[in-house]
Amino acid sequence: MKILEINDLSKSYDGKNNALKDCSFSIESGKICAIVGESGSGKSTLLKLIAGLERPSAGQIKIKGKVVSNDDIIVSPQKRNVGLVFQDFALFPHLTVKENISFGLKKDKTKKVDELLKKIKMEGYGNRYPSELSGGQEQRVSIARTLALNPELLLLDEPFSSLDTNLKSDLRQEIKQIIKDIGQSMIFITHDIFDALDIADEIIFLKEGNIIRHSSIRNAYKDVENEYLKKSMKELKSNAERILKAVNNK
Amino acid sequence: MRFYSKHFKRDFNQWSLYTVAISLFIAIPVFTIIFHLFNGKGEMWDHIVTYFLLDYVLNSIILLFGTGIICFSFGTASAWIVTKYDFPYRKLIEWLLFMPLAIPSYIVAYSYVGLLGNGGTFIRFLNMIGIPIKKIEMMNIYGLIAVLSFSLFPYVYAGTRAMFKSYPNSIRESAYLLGASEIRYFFSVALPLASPAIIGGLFLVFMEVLNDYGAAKYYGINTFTTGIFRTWTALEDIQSSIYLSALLVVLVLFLLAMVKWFRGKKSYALKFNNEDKTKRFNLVGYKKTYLIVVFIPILAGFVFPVIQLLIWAVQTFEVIFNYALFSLVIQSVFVALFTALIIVLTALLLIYFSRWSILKTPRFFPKIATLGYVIPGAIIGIGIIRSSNSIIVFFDTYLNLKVGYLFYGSSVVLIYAYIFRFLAVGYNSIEANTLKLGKHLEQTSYLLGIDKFVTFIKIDLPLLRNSIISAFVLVFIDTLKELPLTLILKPYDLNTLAVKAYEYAEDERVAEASIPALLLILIIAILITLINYKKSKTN
Ligand SMILES: Nc1ncnc2c1ncn2[C@@H]1O[C@H](COP(=O)(O)OP(=O)(O)O)[C@@H](O)[C@H]1O
Ligand SMILES: [Mg+2]
Repeated sequence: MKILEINDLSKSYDGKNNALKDCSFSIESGKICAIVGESGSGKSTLLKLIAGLERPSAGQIKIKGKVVSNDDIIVSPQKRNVGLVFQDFALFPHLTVKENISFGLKKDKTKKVDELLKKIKMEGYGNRYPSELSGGQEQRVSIARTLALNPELLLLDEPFSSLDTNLKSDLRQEIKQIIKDIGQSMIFITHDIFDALDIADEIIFLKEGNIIRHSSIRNAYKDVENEYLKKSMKELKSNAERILKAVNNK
Repeated sequence: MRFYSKHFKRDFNQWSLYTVAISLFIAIPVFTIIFHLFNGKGEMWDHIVTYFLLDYVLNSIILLFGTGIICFSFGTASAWIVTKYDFPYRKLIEWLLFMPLAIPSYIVAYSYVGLLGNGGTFIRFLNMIGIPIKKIEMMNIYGLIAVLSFSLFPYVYAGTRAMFKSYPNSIRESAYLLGASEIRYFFSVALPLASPAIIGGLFLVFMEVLNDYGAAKYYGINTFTTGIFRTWTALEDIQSSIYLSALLVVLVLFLLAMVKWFRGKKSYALKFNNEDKTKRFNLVGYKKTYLIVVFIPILAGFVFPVIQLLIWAVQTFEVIFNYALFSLVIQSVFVALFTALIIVLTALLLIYFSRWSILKTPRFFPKIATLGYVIPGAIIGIGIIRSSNSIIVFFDTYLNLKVGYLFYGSSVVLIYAYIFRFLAVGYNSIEANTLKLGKHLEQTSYLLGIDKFVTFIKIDLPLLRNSIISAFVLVFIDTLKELPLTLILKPYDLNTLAVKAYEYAEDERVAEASIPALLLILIIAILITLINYKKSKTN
């Protein structure tokens, strides 16, 4: 079954320039999809449209076969059962970790919060405020808060960009482990093809609002036609080889 | 801005409608004035043009120039000295430099006549030390310029000081390393960088100068605002006063355009400090004389007027200090509290309704509703009287209902007028903080299944608490000081401290104005201190 289907989706903020243009793709339930693209290519816009935080200028979005936005219909973000973790984590600064995680819960708050705190390995931190956490901890709380509601589809905006770029860094591995363990339909944005290769099942390349390639991870390097992609793939590959070497030499 | 949206039906919601409706309702006086401009000129218009108009225009322009230059000089120089140097009691002096704002300018005007007029306090002091002088004439345009400047310069001081404080030390150090002298650094680096704040402060000064009625009236200077009043009350020609108002608005728009142009020209990308980490130098040697620049405005704008008021207060204490005075305080405070409450609520409604409006055009409308801050009170007063008359006539002729009492017998119209005049004070300071909060917090809350209202209550409200409180206090202070609108629109049996002080002064009983004035100053001074204290604590 398809968790997400997108048809001819376009978005313009100002009525002139398109942040996203005629995008179509779909994702099977249970798959993890990585979106890669330069800054300003429309990645965040795509996530916001899926979550219902922005409205498309044209096109249609279906979640689990149900239309959630098109020219006539808009399902509110509250009713989409989609979770989004922002790049800045957006923790409520005046609430404790516990209160942040249980914010959307209606019942069994304590039980659920304890469970999630354990999952993100932050059992002792329930009563702290976000300002008393490190960046990595904030991010984990943000993910836990989103998972509390068991969303059908999880969206992550650049979950690795704020972390240390060192591939072997513990934080990075920890977040990756958490993401892999979630085991559900997910889209995440990344700058780094390594993260995509490491976690994702498929990969989408965005450039200037257009999808220029959508493939499985296994075929990511195969049959690359597009000049721009070829170039960036080459860069990525040489980068990858260089970094892998460095890692292996350690 | 697009007025048409292909998705109008999909994107239209009730919030778009409410934003537009509330904004238009608040801006009725503007539309009334515009509408009445097409009614042709009034009977006295030609007379006014021949005998008075040149006076109004010239005096207003001279006032703007004079106050502009003095406020600029003392505002920037004092801000510079308190941020660059350290000296004993610096914190106290920084605070004292704000204090002239606590005294309405018409009250400063009264006190100077008491100090420097015939047999005035200061004159007697001069006589005592052997200087035989009868009086120093204050009641002319130069006197008015001095009085307005010393009571308004803190608008320039406040913004400029905040700006100077935010400069990273590295700017100054690199300027000195490049060989710039202190003076050169001040004029070619520090001052230009602060120009947005200085221009903003000067604009506020200009608005207050154009809005002033009490001081100009007392000193007998014909300005636009006194002209509008005179045409309306003495000449009983409301149509001509609407014409005058329109001309005054043109002047205001011209100033506004200058500000926009000036700010557009200069924008600097600098990483500013948020906290006060500026390195300060000790004031030593001849540099101690710099303090004169700081003491002059404090003395002239705050200490001298307060001394004169205190002297008068002692003289008139027995006559004035009674139950009526107590009731006056209660009435003033109550009206100001109520106004501040309604304005903060209206500001929040407009900010959030327009945020919740998906269509973009309605988001433009709150700008119209906040125009009142650049429209002098006298004009708003006329606009409102005109609109209420039309409504009263409408109810009378078509529904046979007499609603006049509701309008003029109660404070409804007055409070409506305050809302239009001061909405921007509340709106701008709260809106700036909602923009700082960003959208991610509320969007996260939506995605966690929480609706708009609950999100507002649980997220935005607690995070905006401080800015809501300071918006409330600012509006409270402005309302408490307000004179021209209150004079025009207050119901017969309502009296405020500001109005009472004005009435005593107009009645040639200026000494008796001192106790209401001092009470007013005391309340405002306490509030200004509280806000500043809160700000420095949260920083
Ligand atoms: N709220 C907004 N209003 C106007 N333009 C926006 C807004 N958000 C994004 N944009 C524009 O849309 C384009 C895509 O932005 P975004 O989706 O944030 O890109 P990415 O996440 O890939 O860096 C950019 O040109 C950006 O300036
Ligand atoms: Mg982005």
